[in-house]
Amino acid sequence: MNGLAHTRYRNGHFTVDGKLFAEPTGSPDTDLNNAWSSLGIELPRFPRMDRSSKLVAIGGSAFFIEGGALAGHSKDTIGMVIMGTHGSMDTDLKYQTQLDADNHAGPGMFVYTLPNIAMGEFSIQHGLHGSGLCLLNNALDLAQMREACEILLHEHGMESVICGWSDIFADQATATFMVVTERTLADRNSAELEKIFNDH
Amino acid sequence: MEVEKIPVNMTVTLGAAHILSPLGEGLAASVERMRNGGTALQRTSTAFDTPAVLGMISSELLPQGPQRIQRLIDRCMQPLVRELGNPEFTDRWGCYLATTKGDIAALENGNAPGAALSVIADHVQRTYGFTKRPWVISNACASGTSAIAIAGAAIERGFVDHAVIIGVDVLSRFVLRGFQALHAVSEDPCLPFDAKRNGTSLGEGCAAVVLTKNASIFKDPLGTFVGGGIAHDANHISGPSRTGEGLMRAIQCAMKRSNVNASGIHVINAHGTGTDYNDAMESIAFERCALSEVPLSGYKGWFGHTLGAAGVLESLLALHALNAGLVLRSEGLSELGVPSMVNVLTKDMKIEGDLLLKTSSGFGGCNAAILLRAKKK
Repeated sequence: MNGLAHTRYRNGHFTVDGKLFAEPTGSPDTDLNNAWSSLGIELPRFPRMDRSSKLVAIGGSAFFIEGGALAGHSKDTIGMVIMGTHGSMDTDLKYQTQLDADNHAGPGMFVYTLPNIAMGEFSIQHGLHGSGLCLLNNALDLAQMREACEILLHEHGMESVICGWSDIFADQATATFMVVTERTLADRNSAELEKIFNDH
Repeated sequence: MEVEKIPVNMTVTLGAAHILSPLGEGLAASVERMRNGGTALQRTSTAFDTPAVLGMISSELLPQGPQRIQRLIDRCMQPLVRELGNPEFTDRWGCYLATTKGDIAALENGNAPGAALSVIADHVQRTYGFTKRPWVISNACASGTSAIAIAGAAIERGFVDHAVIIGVDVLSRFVLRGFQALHAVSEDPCLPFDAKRNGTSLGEGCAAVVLTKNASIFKDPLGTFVGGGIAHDANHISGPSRTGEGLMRAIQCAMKRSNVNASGIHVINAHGTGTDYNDAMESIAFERCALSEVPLSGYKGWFGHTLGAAGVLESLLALHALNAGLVLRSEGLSELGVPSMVNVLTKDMKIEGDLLLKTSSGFGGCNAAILLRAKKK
């Protein structure tokens, strides 16, 4: 679609460049695990990560598997721009519930109560040292996302940027990721990018 | 990391800065307090039902309003807007908000939608009439410095002509309990870079500043934005890299982008949380960047770690002091205790130079660095 490498996750329905990788089972956690398994990547940390980190891992990792858009690329010049509405709210609520019940919550859970941790987890998984931005918005703001990508590409020396929308809250999980470069952004107007985000 | 310098025939100027912190209000008064007074951190047993040392803002300073975070923002934004002569915030104006947890206390009161970070963008857009949707940047404790780096670059690329940057975070039981669970909070006021440091102190604050390509909108500019960089450790989600890798890369990106080498940097304002690992990591990164000799301070000993506000607040204080030819000491330091060579100040110092490096690092392994130049004397 538009020739841009992209992945899409909608409540368990997971596609890579339009090809079906996993289908929903009705259980949000099983769906996340199934989508991850469909990529065939070993990651012992995966079961311990929070849902938001799992969603970013699923959406972004397909670009690194054999034949993926970023396989073999220098890890130093891959940037990240991740936008969503709820950020870490899924974990925030669990943490708050535990805090209210016990007046104490585990440090392991607290760490996941920052929206950018999913991006940090992803950078660890793939050894990415590049520039990155975690943005929050009520809805997808393509103008903002495009500007952020252009800043990383032109001003922070990135050669490609994994950009996407990733949002999980109240068992509703949505993620769309794509890889953009200076060239692909210059060749496409915002309507073409929006089509990738909105197509089901 | 190879960063090609793009010729930028533009000077991005900072001005109309307003701050609110445990030190009080305004840059001049806050710097005066830092020169002549001690820490604003206070021991309390009543806030959040737990004994703690905190940097709190007096509620008497805040305008009326339902949410504390909005009251902090309004207290900084109202004088900023007045100073600019009530401009219309057209689509040539960007707004870049930096926060880690926004109004997370709303969650405690059962209002999950109110705790979403974009709620503060709604407030700012509605109250001040920004045509363009304000950005909300949440790169953990590097949010404030990241926001300045991004806003400066947005003006250089011509996306906007002017940018309002607001860094803000308020104290909450949610965050205090979390840092306590991580054993990252000191029982006494934090001691950045000191051998006896044993954790950070949390604070709250708000800092707002305007960046513009048109310096004539200011009566009294504060300085200029020179360049910025952001980089990831790719190492651990809650502990900083043992080698300072991400911070080193962020600094190198800012330097390359600005055509500045290590000998051109005159002052460093570090993150300096007072935790063992953070301060050690920073010393390693600065040494790797050949910055061991540069006079360095961390300001959290004065008012605590203000999280998403920290990068903006600390940048503005350091730049204001530098405009007076001063580098302020690192409050709380008596005996340096980090593994690599760094020149952390125990006393305020007069200085001739004008180029400031500000750095911040946060959970998720995120690091940000900016270079700011004091105004011409």
